[in-house]
Amino acid sequence: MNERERVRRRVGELAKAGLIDESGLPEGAQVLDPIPVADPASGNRHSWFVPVARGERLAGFAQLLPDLQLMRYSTFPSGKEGTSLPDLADWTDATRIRDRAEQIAKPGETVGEPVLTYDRDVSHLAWRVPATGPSGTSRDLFVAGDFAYPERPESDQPEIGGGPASA
Amino acid sequence: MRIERTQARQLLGLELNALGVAGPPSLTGELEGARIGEEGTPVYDPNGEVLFYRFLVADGGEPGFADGAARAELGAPLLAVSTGMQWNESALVEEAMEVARSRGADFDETRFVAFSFPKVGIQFLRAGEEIVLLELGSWEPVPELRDSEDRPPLEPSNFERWSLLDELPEGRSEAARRNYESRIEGWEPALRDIDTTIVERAQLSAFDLRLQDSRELHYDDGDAGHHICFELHGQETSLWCVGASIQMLLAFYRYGYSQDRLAEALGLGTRQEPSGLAYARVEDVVAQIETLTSNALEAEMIQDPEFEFFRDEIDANRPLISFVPSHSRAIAGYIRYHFTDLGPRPFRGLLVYDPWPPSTGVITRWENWDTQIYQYGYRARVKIVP
Repeated sequence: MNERERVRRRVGELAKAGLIDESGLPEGAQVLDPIPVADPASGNRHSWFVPVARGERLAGFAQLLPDLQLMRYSTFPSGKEGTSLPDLADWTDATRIRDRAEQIAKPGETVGEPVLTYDRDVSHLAWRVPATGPSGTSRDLFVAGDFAYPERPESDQPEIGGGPASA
Repeated sequence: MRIERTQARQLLGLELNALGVAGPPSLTGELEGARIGEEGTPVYDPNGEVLFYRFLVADGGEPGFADGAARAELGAPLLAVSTGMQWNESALVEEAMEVARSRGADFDETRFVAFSFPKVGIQFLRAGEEIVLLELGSWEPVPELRDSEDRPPLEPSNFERWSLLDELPEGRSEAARRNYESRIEGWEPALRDIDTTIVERAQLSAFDLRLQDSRELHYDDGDAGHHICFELHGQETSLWCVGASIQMLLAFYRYGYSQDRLAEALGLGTRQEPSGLAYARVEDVVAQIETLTSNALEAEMIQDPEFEFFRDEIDANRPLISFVPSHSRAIAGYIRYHFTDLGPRPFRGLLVYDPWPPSTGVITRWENWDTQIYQYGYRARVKIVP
């Protein structure tokens, strides 16, 4: 069994054991292939993002450390019949994610391959998409679901929502 | 205080028997009939002390493993139990050795090391000196121990080697030791009667056990007659997590503030040029909750909050705000699996209404208390006219 399959199986087991949600996974939900979450500083694997889908919508996700310890299990508010759930593609489809990044790229910038990581804190999961200008200068854009934004310059002082706490 | 492997295994056996009765039904099924392996894998702290032993738990419904404390500073004999996954020490070492050799490592000893508790890696040594330490699973080399004076204790970065035993503040490790000792005392009557090498529900039938302790916010504290009552708000810019958290807390008390208005009050800029809340101004959250409710709410900030801080507020039907490193969220519930009269339990989790991702937010049920760093907690209560 490969590592991704082990991660996926682990989420199924945790759900079955009632350890991620007493009511189990949402009805009709499927645990999809895990996506590695890269540490933003080193690029090493930080954790696994494991999507839980209802059809073409993202019902929630589990996040597991490399040793398969559960970090969190999260669900999106579903609204009536799941209509307010995010599109699965917003979180899993590289083309859709690049398109989102392109919408906020400056004229002349080309966007590169997205990498799932987090912005400053691990709870800020987001895809990082490099954007390179005609002069070769590069900056990072972030895409979190249907929300795209440019990397923020380092703040002079640590902030909640801003720079790292230990800065 | 050190705990020898034999004693760690015996106490682990008691705890697993407890969990076999107290845990959620599907888990108790997995544990029933399980035997606890004789050879526990010692897992070291980066300072060289054995921190815990990992024992195979097998022959139940599913294979698994459990971690038994080797130090009382960990606060409880059972650290974690995992079912559905085999603990195969020799296979892991084999896999790690392949990676280490491919990196040219020349070694004569291997050890499991909790390089960033509870994250574990395999250390390769030669003549007692480390050659390399590889993270379990990813097999990435773990950075060297850095000078812990560069940052506050227990606030490591995401991939950092640090010593739990060395960084535990004296007060905290003392409290954990007391916790551990009281737990052991609680077990004394059971030790005589229980076969600790096997998990069998019948063994603890004479003891008073509870399944779990959990609560979510309701319209008021009459849980039976009222619905669960808390609404998620996504943050409306990439930096307004504090505004969104306060918005959720105030909305519970029917104060309808927009995030733009809250950003103005907190100095978080505008939608076009948002900013975060400076750490130097964390107390502004208290002041603004009181100001924006014309002092109808009385707020308080607690640094390094304990789990019980959140539990007590939720039990009183009051939402909270939690700051973790560089992020803010609202808290609307908790869970803990526990064992009456016997102290702490193996899983504590918070129900987190997280304003991230922007615009949607997400509800996390449950956030493992042991994998997060809780820096500040905020509570607010309605002032009652005497």
